[in-house]
Amino acid sequence: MDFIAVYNPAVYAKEADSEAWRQLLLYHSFKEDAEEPTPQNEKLSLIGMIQGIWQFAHNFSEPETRGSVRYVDTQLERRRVIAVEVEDGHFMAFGVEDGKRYGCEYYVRELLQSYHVFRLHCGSMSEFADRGELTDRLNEHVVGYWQALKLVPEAIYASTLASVCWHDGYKVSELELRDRAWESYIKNEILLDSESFLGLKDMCIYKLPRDGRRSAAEYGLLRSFAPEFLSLPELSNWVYHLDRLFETALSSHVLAGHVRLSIGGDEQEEEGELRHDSQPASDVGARMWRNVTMPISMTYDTMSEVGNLTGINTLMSGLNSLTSGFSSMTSRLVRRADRQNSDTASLSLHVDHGFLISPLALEALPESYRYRRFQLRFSTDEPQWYRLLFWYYKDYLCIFIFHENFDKIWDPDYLQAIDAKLYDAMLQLEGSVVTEDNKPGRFAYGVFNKTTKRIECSLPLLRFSDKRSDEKSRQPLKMVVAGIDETLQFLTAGTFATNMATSRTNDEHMGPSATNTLRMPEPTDAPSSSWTLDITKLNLFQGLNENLRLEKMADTDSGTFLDSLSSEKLLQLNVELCRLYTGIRRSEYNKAGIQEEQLLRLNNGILFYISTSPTEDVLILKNWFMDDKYTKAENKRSTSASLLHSLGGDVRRWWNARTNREQ
Amino acid sequence: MSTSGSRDSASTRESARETRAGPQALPLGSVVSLSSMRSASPTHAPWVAKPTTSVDLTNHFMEVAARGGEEERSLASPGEEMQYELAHSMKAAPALPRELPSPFRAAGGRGALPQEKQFFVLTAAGKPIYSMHGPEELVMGLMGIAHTLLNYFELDGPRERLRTITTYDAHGVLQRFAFLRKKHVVLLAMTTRNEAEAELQQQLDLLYSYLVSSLSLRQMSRLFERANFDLRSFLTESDFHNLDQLCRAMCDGTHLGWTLGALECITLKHSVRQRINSIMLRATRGLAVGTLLYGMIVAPDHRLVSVLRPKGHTLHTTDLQLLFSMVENQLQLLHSSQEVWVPLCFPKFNGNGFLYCYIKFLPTDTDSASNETTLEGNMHIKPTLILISPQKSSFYDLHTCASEILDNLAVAGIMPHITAPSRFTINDIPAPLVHHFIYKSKKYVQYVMPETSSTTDWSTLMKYYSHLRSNALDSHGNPLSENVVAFARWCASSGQVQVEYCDSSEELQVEDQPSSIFSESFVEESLNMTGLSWITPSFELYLLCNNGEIPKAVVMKSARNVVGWCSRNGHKLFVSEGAVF
Repeated sequence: MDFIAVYNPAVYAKEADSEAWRQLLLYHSFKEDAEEPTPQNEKLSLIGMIQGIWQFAHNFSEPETRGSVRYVDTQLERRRVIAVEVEDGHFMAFGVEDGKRYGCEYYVRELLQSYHVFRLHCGSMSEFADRGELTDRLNEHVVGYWQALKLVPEAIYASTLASVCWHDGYKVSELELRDRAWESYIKNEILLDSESFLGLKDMCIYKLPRDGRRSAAEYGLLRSFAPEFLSLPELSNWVYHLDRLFETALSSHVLAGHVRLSIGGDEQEEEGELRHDSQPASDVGARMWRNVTMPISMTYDTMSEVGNLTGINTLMSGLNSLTSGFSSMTSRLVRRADRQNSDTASLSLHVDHGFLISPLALEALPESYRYRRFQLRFSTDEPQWYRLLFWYYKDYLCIFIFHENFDKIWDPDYLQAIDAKLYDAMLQLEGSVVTEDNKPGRFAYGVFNKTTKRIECSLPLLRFSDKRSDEKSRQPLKMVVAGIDETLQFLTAGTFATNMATSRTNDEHMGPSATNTLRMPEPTDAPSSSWTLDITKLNLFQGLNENLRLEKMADTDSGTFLDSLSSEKLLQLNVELCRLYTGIRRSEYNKAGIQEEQLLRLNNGILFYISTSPTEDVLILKNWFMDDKYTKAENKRSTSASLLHSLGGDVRRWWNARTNREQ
Repeated sequence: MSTSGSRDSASTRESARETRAGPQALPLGSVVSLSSMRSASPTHAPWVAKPTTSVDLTNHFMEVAARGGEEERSLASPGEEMQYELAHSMKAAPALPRELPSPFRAAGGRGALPQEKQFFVLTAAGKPIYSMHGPEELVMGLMGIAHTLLNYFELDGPRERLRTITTYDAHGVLQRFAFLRKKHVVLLAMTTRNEAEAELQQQLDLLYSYLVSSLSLRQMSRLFERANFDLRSFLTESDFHNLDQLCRAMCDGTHLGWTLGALECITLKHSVRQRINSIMLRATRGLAVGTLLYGMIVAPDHRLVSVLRPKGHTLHTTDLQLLFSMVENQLQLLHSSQEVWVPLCFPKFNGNGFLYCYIKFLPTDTDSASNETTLEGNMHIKPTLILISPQKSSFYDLHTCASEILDNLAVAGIMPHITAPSRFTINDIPAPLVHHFIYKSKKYVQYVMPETSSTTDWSTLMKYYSHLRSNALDSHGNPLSENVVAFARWCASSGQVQVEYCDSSEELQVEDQPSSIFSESFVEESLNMTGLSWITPSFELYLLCNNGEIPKAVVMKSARNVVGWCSRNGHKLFVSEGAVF
């Protein structure tokens, strides 16, 4: 990465030459040797060049297409510079040196998303009257966004086509449910409830399965209720972004924006470090909520309350009393961590759920632990500020969107009631999940509806940690909780840490341990898990990575054939897909009324179908090595001209079912 | 020898470049008169050669653009008149229904510069050399900015240079700019079409190769020793005319071979081709060793009949294409009784020196036939015999050799095969529902295609092919994998979807009103086109079916039949060896 800049050339046009610097709202250089700041003049000339390119291209455009340019990609021999007009007159530019492996959509998506994150938090740039204030906010959000990506650039590339190319859409969960009773329950009991009715604008419920590769289709937004929630893509993508960045560590700290990544040095203890290498698979499901807000907030609180830190016993007793006194949620939460080791009898009693961000958080915590203030757009209204609370149940995440002036959220009883109702709804939801595995296994699909912005996609989600796992040389990442960090460091040092192992395995009633909250489990040697097996597979096939050759696989394989691909192959496949997809998206066509279908058959086994139309883009991925004789014969008999129908019975059945569902 | 005068003048082309615009440059000048005074003395531009780092491009730019807009095409390019006449004459023909419905956006032409394609050539110091179209003032401003951009990024290091700029709108790629940086000149291509960077680079390379073929590298190096040299004063009108023709041909897709990187040849019985070869070989026996480097007989429309070549040597396709285009653009008014002796640099063969080409048109039954236009929009290019020598003085030897070849061809009764070759039609092949195809043999670097139906709109056909081709290639112009089969289908979205679409968003409806009217006409035509591209290590096949519902299996079957037919008839379709001496 080279630099990121935000500028508004319109300012320059008004000002005198000496005021040229005013157009530059933000310039951040990612260069390692940052001791020497880039001279102002150099920054301005670069911005001038980018703007020059923009105008240069402009002059070759047809009058009617002028102003429709969304972004410009400038490729140099080694570097590339991408400029996006994020708001009328406001541009963002990004320079990168990436060896041209990836399409520019990868960066465009990040640029736009960093803007959207900024916009959710701070509103539009043009609303800022004070340039200095705007620059500060941009520094906070945009630079923060990109700094994280700089630390884990894999996060940029380990994305599926759906999130890269359809960045203005949002992925929906295709969890199969027998009935919709839980939805009406939520509607009647929570949304239309006389207490909430005036204040609760909407609720968005996400399912974020922790094993994304196996259940990619289930990942995403399950339900939102307001009819025209225009900011839904931005909000959803913000959640997905946090999830991809912090993965299994998605917690209230993350949601509160109080966590940043930094490269952990060796001088640090292992505590607080987010270890990504060789985690046993049994933990994959558990890691997400391990470090939810309560323990950490209580740690902090205990600190101030207890006043001295004479020993671990004091601390623990303090925590315990807090836990029991505060709410039952927290204690359930703690036990969750140890659930894999306990028997099933206790499971039914302790199902984890509760608020991640809510006014129930302790006073001592910053405001963002009590609510998030976001600017959102509903229907055609002007964007307004809302207060967002976050709640979880297992791997479901629920976002409550309250009107800003709704004071009820400060009433603990009200929140408790909502918690209970939502818990009931989630139990209903769980009960209606269709568990039998009749998922389409032989192909992966992605559908983007351009009107509703919905994305349905079963392409396996890439976890960049998968990729990182084979780069042992990398430094482990460390999660730093701003402000609370020092306390935590102190708390987790010494005896406390050494006691950790026992506290995890033995003492269920010991209460939340501070270490547990931020610390990933110790690496286990047992290679029993499927996840570890995956790594071995990866190493075995590394030689083939270049060719990306698919193999004929046994029919018994569940999930899509892509699931069995190594991360590296999957990554490469997605890069390839993005390239093919961008290839087909051209402005050369008449804008309305044309559907183009394309079907590609490569000799490495990939069968790639893509169709674009004004309303919908569809892509389907198959492994044609897997087509048996029967399918082939069936395809030959097909009389339909549609290329989609020639993909085989399984695709046809899926498509027809989908079409029926839509109607 | 009626044309010895022209031979002499042409043979001194290299040394007499400055004075060649004079009347003695007869054969070349006759076509040149069409072109306007493009090489009028260039005005000095103050913006050149200042690699400043902090320039206010925007403001300068807007001014130029505004001024440019006011002037109504102050500089009509020479090809345009001809193009207009051509288009006019084509319109005069009874209106035929277009058999190929087109999903593509109609070409724009409003405003000062908007075009589907644009080419710029400027010196490394930023002085304009050539622009395909646009008012001069605007073009100069744009070139200035292009030059500033190029220089700015080169400041970052010797290996850093600007390659492409791509703009995107909500629907995908809007424009693509590609830059080709050579030692003395910089070339820029802009396209709003579906062309990959590799394709644009190929086109720029052809333009550059033309400059080299006309000047030779050695001469260019010498000329550019003078700082701030203005090449425009050195290039002749015919050079500009040729550049215009090259650009135009690249825009219109008239020379399929340029994009495919292959030559087309005529279909001949193997025995006939053998006889032509032996006639050519016999005629060259009398020549001293080293007199003849290469020879070929070319049928109308640049279709190769046969080649005469030394063992182990071939000429690069680009070199041949430049030669053919020179013949096409400069010598068409030459009568078949005349002959030309012209020095030409073959950039891919040796960019530093010249070879000498003996060119003679073959006698056709009626010379008036040359006025006919083909479907591709070309003038019918006359059948030609070309002999290439490295020696400046071997005109008379080659003249004798050529006469013998022509005489013997006439005696053997082969001439009609060459002057009026037939194309096979799509009906000759058991490939049901196929409208048209292109089959390229990678081994011979040659392609064949059936007779184009009289109702086919050539440029639409070419756009389809361009899409089919790019479907199977990556951005570097290489096949996506060793074997690729890519189907493509274009159809009008169903009416129901259309209505939904319009209802769903009022904004969209307003914005897209003109095009949605347009799309209704598609519904009437019920666009439903299927095509296929199939690339293997030995061949490339691009195939377009008739409009209508055609199942994939049928398309594939027809494609297999085409491939089978082409490989079975390889001897007839392709010049395999040629006459090797």
